[in-house]
Amino acid sequence: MNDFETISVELSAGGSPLRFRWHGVIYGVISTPELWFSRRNWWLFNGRAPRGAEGGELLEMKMWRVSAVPLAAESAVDRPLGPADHAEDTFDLHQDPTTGEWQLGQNPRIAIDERKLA
Amino acid sequence: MTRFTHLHVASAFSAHYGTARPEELVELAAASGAEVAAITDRDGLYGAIRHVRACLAAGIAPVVGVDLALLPEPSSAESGSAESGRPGSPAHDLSFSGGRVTVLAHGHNDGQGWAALCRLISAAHSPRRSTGARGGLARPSDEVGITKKRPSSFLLDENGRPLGTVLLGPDSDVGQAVAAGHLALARERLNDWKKILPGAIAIEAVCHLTEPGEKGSLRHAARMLELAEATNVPAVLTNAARYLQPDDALTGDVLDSADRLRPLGTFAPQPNGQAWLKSPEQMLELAQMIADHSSLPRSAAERMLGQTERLADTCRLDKDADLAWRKPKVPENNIIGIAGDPAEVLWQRCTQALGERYGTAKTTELDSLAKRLRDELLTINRFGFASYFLTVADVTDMIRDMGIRNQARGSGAGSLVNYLLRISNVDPARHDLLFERFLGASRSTLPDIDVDVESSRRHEIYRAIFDRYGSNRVSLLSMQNTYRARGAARDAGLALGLDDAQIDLVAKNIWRFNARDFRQVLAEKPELRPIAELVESDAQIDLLVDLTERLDRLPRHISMHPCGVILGNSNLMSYTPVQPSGMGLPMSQFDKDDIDDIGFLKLDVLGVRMQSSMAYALSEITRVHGKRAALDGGIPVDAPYVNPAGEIELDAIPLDDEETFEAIRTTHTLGMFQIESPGQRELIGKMQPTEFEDLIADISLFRPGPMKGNMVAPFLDVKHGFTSPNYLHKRFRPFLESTYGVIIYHEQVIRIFADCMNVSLADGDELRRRIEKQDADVEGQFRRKTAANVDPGTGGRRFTDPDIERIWLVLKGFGSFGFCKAHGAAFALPTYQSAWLKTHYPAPFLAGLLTHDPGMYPRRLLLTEARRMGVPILPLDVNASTDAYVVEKIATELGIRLSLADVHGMSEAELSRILANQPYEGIGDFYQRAAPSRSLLTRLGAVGALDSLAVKKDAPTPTRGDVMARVRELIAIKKRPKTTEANPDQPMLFTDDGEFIPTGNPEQSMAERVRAELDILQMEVSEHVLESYRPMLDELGVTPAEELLGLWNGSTVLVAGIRIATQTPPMKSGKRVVFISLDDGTGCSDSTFFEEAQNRAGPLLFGTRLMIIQGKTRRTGERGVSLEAINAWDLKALWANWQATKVS
Repeated sequence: MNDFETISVELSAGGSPLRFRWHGVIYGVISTPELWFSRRNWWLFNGRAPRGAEGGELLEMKMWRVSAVPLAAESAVDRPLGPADHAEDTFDLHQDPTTGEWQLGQNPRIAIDERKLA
Repeated sequence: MTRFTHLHVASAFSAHYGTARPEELVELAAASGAEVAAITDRDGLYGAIRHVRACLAAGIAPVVGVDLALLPEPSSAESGSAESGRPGSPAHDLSFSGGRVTVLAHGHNDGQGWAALCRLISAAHSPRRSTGARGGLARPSDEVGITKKRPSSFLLDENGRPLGTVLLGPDSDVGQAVAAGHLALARERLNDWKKILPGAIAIEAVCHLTEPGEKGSLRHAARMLELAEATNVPAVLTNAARYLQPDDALTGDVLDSADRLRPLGTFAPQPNGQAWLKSPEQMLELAQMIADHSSLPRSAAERMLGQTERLADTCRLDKDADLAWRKPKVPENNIIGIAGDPAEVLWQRCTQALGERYGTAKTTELDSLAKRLRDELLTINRFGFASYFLTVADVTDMIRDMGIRNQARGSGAGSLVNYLLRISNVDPARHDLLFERFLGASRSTLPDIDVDVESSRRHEIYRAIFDRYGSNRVSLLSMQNTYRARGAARDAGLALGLDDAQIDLVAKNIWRFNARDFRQVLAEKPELRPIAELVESDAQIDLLVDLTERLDRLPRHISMHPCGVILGNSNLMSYTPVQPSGMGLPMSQFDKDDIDDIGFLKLDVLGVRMQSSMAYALSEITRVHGKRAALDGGIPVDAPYVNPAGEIELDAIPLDDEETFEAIRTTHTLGMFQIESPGQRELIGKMQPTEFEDLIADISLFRPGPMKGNMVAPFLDVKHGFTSPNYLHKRFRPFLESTYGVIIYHEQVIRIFADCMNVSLADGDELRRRIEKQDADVEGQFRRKTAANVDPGTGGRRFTDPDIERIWLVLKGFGSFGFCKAHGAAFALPTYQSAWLKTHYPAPFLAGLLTHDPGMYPRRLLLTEARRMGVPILPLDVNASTDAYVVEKIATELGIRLSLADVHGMSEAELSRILANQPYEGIGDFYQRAAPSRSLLTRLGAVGALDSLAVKKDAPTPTRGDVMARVRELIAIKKRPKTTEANPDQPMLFTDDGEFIPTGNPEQSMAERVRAELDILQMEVSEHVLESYRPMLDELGVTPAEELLGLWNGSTVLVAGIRIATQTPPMKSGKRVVFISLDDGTGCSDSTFFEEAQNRAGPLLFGTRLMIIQGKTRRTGERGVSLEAINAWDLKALWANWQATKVS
């Protein structure tokens, strides 16, 4: 879960992700993003955790679970999109609260979870 | 403001789970506009009373519930339910293995909901019938919980109406099935609940915004809401809160680690940090999000929120109707053996006792006593406390009938009623103790009466109380153990996965301060410098400091209170949940701070080792002296407190025995209750008490306040005739005379207020409490009323303005230093009794001390004292010793035989085998029949316990070396003959007359003996340990402790000895002073180390046992002397050097 890749994200007026670019491909979000909070092993960060600090932010990561489809390849360097690339996929997008950078993490369990509560 | 009630809230009293105190949670709820606030701690009502109290203070309605484990049905009972698992059904691979549900009590039903909750929780903590385990031992907490069928008999009344609601949340069997996507199974399980508890269930939707699809996710909550709507079960929204604010989530992680006893990262942690007490707006938003993620219309959110508030309203508790808040709940009259009006019975018993207790009093005295009794009874009856006093008397009567010593402690000794009922043995009239200090006019809850009993028989008393009043009326009190610095550092270290050595390094060095201030203290205290450096260099230790601070003061676990017993009526179990205590008897989930509010009668039955010691001494006196007891003790043969069998009624001895006071004045007070510490020895040396009142004053003065405020000096100056007493005002003389004009007691402050302001003693006590709280209004009131106090005869003022000025200054200054005299008097009685026993019956008394070890000093010092008093110590002997220190007659002397109980490393089983098979014919016989381990046999041999077995007829007395040779022979045999278990009736298997003891082995040297004794018995028996160093000590010219008193003030001397006490009391100046007491076999020397001497002594100050100290004598009184230390040395190091110089 800590293997995040930095990506760029375009937000809606309400602050949730609309489109993002990953590996040179622009993806469009196709359903309501689902907000969730993941957690981190804060004690490994060599930082302090004094009482009354923002312990919640130290522990949590705000995630957007989105369903998205590739819209277009960004440049000529990239290969053209084939039919298989248009399949819908699930992504977790996360904005680092300190750097403001967006990151993307692919959860291997997503597909299974999707089936569970379908 | 929007209303939202959190119905599922764990406080910090959910040990190792919640992070916030109930008061904080209520405060936040009230601040966000709540009309109702709930608490639902895990496994019990540990925080419930505090919660209710906080709600009442905040003017909102309390709701109370519990979060309980839901246990799977025992497998046999499972058939027929959905769980049985028809092959192929979802249930087959999804059987329920346990979860949690929340149960809320309904209110406004005359306490039926509260009672149901209490009884359900008690049931959750008691062994389940199906398992049939009734052993009395507390079961592991993971077994606490209820099965699905359990609540129905509690939560429905006889007409099937619900008395509570079970919330089926994400962790319930229903919620788990929903999370797993088995909606049909969830429906089946919900249907079971509907059948079991019709109208008493609700679906609890919780959305912690966890990973989509997981438990506590938006989807999970949405499916729960859909299920509720589809099945017509009300749905409520909670946040399953376990902390106050988002920051607490980290603390939650650390608590989870402590709960699992595993470092963070080695178990599945909480999914995120969303379980705080969210604001109503946040909760409303969550409700909307849940509805939006469901297939339901948005109105489903409104409906869920509405149902939440309706349930909250149903559960509002009424403090009077439901909880009988602060209303006393005492045993029924017939249970304490009275018929008719308790007030009447109390009056009769007291009046009758007046004649018995004060049989020889003059008529005028009797009249004033009768008036005092009437006043006390009026107050008692005004509060309706008569049955309370009769109950306490019933218990103390029972304890006395069991032959167990008991003595009331505390302000209760100020009550004549308590004295007449024989709850207390201190005469309040004789010592001018005030009832008003005990039971003032403003008290509305039951007063405390504490009873000290023999510590070794305390549990016997508890069991007898349960037997007498029935387990439906009695419960032990519990107490909450909270994190202190050390424990917090250990658990924080565990969470971080630090190694034990690192954790030890920190934990061992932090105490005497609040964990909350850890970081601040690190910067301030020089002795913590090594840790501070570690913090700077090691980020993990740095983090450890933060986590330690976070844990500070959080409850860790509940345990049995050391002395509290709750007595109630037959309905007690409807007011408090109980759970098994360490000793097996049920204990209440409430602690001492809860008792007043829930209206329980609490009796403190405190085990006091000195009472056991004295009881043992008395039984030894009777056994050894019999009818000669009075004569042998040097007391009149016709003394009324000694009966012909030699039994002494210790509570009836005269309190003016001159020999006893002379013994106290010598300052050889070792073993005398409360006056044996170095500081007390010094005070006694200065004070030279001559009467019982002096002992009360001594005990009352020996506290930080009066010692710092130097109240001792004026007291002593007047007592010793250096100055004349100053009574402040001539009217005060009658009650200030006993303390030579110095105000020491609360009772005196009360009398001054009453006399000056012309108010009642009860009002006087009220004023005293107010000046202690620095209430500024008291002064004006005092000045006005005192000035208005006129003599009706002359019409003149009783107190002039200068009088008022003078008196007020003293009251203001001394009022807060005062001590309750009744306390002091109750404490002084065992002090005097122990001194009396030591004076008249030293051997039995010391045997009692050695057996029950009541004091602050090691046993070896008691042996020194015995030697000093000429009481022979008889060596350990497996044929003569028992499990106690027994008095033995040798010729005309009384000696004390050492006990087998203190042999290092002897198991209970070995001890009882040795005792059961006595006597023994030889060492081999002992080895076979008592079956000690090889090492125990060796240890017993080394301290001479086998010597008597080696003595054979017509043979020379073997040396200790011979005995040890025989021991070595025996343990060298690979396999000893099989032993049978102890059976005294069984004839001995063989006699050992023919045992051959090797000869010609050298005798043990004295030094070897002493070393073996110290190793094995932790005390030297043959001679004082210092004697081994005698040649050097003589050459150095070391002064024996007993000779210090005869030296000029300011003489420079050397003293030597073994350390018996080290104290660093708080000083007014703030500078550290270290007191070290050494024992050298002739007595104790007390040395004071100021800063310079501390620097010289350096590391010797705290570590070294055997020391030589150089110091200047300082006379502190007629019999008081101490040393101002100049330097100190390690005796053993000096000895090594000295020996080296002798050799060369």
